[in-house]
Amino acid sequence: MRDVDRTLLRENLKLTFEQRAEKHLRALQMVEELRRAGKKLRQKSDGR
Amino acid sequence: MAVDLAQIIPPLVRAEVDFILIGGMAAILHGSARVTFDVDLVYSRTHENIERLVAALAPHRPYLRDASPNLPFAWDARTISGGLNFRLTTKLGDVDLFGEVAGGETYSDLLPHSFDVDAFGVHFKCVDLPTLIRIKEATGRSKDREAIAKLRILSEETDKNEQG
Repeated sequence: MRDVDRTLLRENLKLTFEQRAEKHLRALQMVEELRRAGKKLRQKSDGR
Repeated sequence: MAVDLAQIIPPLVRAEVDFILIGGMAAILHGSARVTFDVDLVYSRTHENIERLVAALAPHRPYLRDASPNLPFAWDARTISGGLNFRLTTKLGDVDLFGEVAGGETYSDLLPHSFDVDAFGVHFKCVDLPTLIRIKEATGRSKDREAIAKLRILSEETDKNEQG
């Protein structure tokens, strides 16, 4: 697969289990924040 | 809701529940960069373990995910004994419980293919990377193809990392 960022995997492999879980949680929280923002934006544009 | 392993795993370990972490969160612990939204656990189907599992998760209000809120679902040992795999929503996030994974493997089958993780102040079992890939392959879902390819690359990188 060409689109896999191996440097990201190599960075993750340097982390402890807890650090990997914490990093994932931060990414997950960001995804959820973006989802919420997208939902608000759609509601706003639907209300026009 | 962002599911946090640090909130879900320790209460299960302290309640002496026999389980193995599998799925996307296991991949994260192996170093995967893919975001996953739920916690997948294979649990032992012994009566005692089911009792412990039910008691440990009860405070977090487990309920069937994507189900109507008015179903007569009781979170108790009888329900778990009578079923096998459960897709749950809890106050801590989404949790999938597997009595059996694709390919028919159970907790006892997967135990020799798991390793101890020391994290969040507890020790628990996580499935090893080759077995995680094998389970994903056994599901045979087209949506897992990309995930499997990425796990294989992770496996290559892990081998390189271990070789120094």
